[in-house]
Amino acid sequence: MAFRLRQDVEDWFSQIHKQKPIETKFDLYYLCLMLGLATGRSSQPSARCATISEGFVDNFVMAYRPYQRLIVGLLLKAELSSLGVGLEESDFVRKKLLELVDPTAPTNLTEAGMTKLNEYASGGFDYLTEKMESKPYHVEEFLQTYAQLVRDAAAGSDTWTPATPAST
Amino acid sequence: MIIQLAGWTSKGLRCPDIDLTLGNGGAIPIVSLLQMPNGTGKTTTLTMLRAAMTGEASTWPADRVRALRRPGETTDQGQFALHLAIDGKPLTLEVRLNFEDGTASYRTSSPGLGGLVPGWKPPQEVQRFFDDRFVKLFVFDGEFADRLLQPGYSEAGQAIDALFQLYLLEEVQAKTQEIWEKAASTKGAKTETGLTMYQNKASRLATRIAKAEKALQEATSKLASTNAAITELEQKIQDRIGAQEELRAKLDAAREREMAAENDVNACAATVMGYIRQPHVLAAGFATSLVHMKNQLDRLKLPASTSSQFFIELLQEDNCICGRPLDDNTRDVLKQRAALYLAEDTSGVLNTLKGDIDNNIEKPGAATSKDLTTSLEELGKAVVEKATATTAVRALRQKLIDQGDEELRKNEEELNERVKERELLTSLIGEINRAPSINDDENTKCLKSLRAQLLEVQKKVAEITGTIELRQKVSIIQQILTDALADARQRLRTVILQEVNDRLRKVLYRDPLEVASIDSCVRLKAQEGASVGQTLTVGYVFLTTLLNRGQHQVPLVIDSPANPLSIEVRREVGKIIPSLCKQFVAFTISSERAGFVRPLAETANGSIGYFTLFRKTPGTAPLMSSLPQQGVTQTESGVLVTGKEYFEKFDLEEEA
Repeated sequence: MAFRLRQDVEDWFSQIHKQKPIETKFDLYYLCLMLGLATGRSSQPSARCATISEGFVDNFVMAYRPYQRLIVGLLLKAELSSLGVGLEESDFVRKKLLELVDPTAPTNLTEAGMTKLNEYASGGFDYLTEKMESKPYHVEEFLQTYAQLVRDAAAGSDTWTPATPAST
Repeated sequence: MIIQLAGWTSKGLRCPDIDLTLGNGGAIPIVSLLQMPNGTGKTTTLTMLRAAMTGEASTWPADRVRALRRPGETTDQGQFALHLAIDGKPLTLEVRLNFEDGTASYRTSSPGLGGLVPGWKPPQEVQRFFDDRFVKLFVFDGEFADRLLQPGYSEAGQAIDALFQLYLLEEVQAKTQEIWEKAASTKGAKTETGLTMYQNKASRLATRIAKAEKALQEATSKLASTNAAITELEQKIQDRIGAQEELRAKLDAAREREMAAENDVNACAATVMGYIRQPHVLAAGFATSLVHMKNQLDRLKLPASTSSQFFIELLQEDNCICGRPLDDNTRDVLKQRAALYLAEDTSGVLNTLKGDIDNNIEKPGAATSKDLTTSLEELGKAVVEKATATTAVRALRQKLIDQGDEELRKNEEELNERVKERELLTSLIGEINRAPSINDDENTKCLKSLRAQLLEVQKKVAEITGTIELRQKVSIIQQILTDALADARQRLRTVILQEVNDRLRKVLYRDPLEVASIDSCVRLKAQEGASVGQTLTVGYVFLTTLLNRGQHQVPLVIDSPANPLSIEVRREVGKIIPSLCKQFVAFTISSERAGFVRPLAETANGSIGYFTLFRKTPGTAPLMSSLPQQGVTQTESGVLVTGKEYFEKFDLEEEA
């Protein structure tokens, strides 16, 4: 399993994709993913779009490698939250870790982990297109709007506004 | 070789039954004008002319054959016989249509064959002129000549390819491919699924490559003309506003500010994106959650110092480490609990995650969401600054235009359009020509990538089918043919360019034009300054130069040569055409006569035949009473009148 990008994502970003500083397809994927994680939205890519760019890249591209485990961490947190489970429930946390993390994979993710990540990217794109009236034409304007969207979504989410740390 | 059109006979088709002889007492005139009102089968006649020459009718589907039957008639046969003179010797190619079973067959008659024989059998030396790609160079509609000079069309390049049969090189290429594909199609049952998959992929890639090549050719051609137009428009605008020095200086300064503001925006956007790529900086909630996660993992003692491996090994012992014997129940519990402990390498990932949280979030000096906030503010300011600078530039330009005139305004508008067009074309060409990327799939437009992908797939097919050596040989031949084709095209276009320019100097000696280059289309030097008539004349000169090279001469058969032209242009073109070829056959309607026929007749110096042909219908019934005494041939379905007088007075209201 590799990263999967819906064709409609590429179409939607077509006016600003390859317009610096958005350089790679992975940038598009990441932008959608973060929004999916921030909102907790996920969807099956193939259910939303008939054409999927299968395995457009197998691993995190260079610009994201320093943060790939942080992204895995965010995925773990989002998945636990979606089950209503807190980080203090050690058995659940272990189970989820085993389900999502594959230390031998270059992405550090199992098949199930990759599937989940792709679903959050797909859900994030759904959210993005709901919130933005039209596809972006100017990268500088898009980046401002996008950052605000992610921040608002994270600020309004119980997942990313941790309650008082659980007692030991 | 001299090929002349002597006439034709048609029967049972949508066009009138007729036996037409262009020659008058044996001599075929330089110009033959055939006037046929709309709806009387002009298209059918031209279709049958082409079909007779090319032999293509035998491949027509049944519905196409049946579509040629005259409406309302039940006749089961249709015939069209084309009479030609090849170096003065007769050759008849007859198409026989069977409307019942929807098939077409041929008969050929020539002295060399000893009479009438079944099949399409023109002499070998004539056949190259009757290739469908060549026939369309001399049997065409009036807009074809114009398209030869239009960027975006590739008729000129194709014409040269057709004349010199360069398509044979492509056909050999296709043949070698076919041979290899055939060899590769013999496969074992084990590999069948994989092989079909690769073969389908190869086919899709080949189609994609052909599309990308065509798009590249068209975009390159169009870009050349767009660039020329931009240069010209900029010069025009420059000339018009050059005098207004003070305003101009302000505009230049404003443009510099705009450029600087744009650079600022780009720099700020790059910084913002750099921060966005760091998830913990993108949203403060991500950072706090990750830190919380790390603390919580510490509290849970995850990763535990004991790994699942410990329990797995313990299960193999007889006694627990506390000394008690391990019974089945205990083993089951241990097995279940072991599943909750992490393997050693998973623990490693968790430790690295905690390290990453430390280094990226908690370490003093690490980027935070505040940094992104600050960058976003700076980007916002830069965007406003850029918008202000752009508005200032636009206002100054507008001021310059307002002080100019209407033409300047139009030039500005056109320039903006052309610049947009250039951006799109450049972007497309860049995408097609760029270096391959690992992210490319078969939907990419990148030609290098598509070719590399195809090569890989072909290699795969070769491996599966054991045809590696043959594949290598085919690749070598194909490369040689590709190089030969490119080289031949380049050399031939240079030679033809010279010949066309030599001819243009003679034909347009009063107002000479020069062709700058020939690639996919013919490009004139200072094309913007040429009139429509001149441009069209260059198209005809180009074509007839090709058609009449060496000892060869072929007729020009044109449908509605003057219809798309203004009266002025008709005069210009009418004067030129007879001097360009030895035989010119034009299918016209009465409204085309004005401005066209007289100069044509003058240049043809009396060698001209006038024919008026119409079908007997209720609409043409009033014409029957005014037919001349002489020169009239009637059949059951049509009327043919030979002669200038009737030709010139013939008119039908619906054509006006």
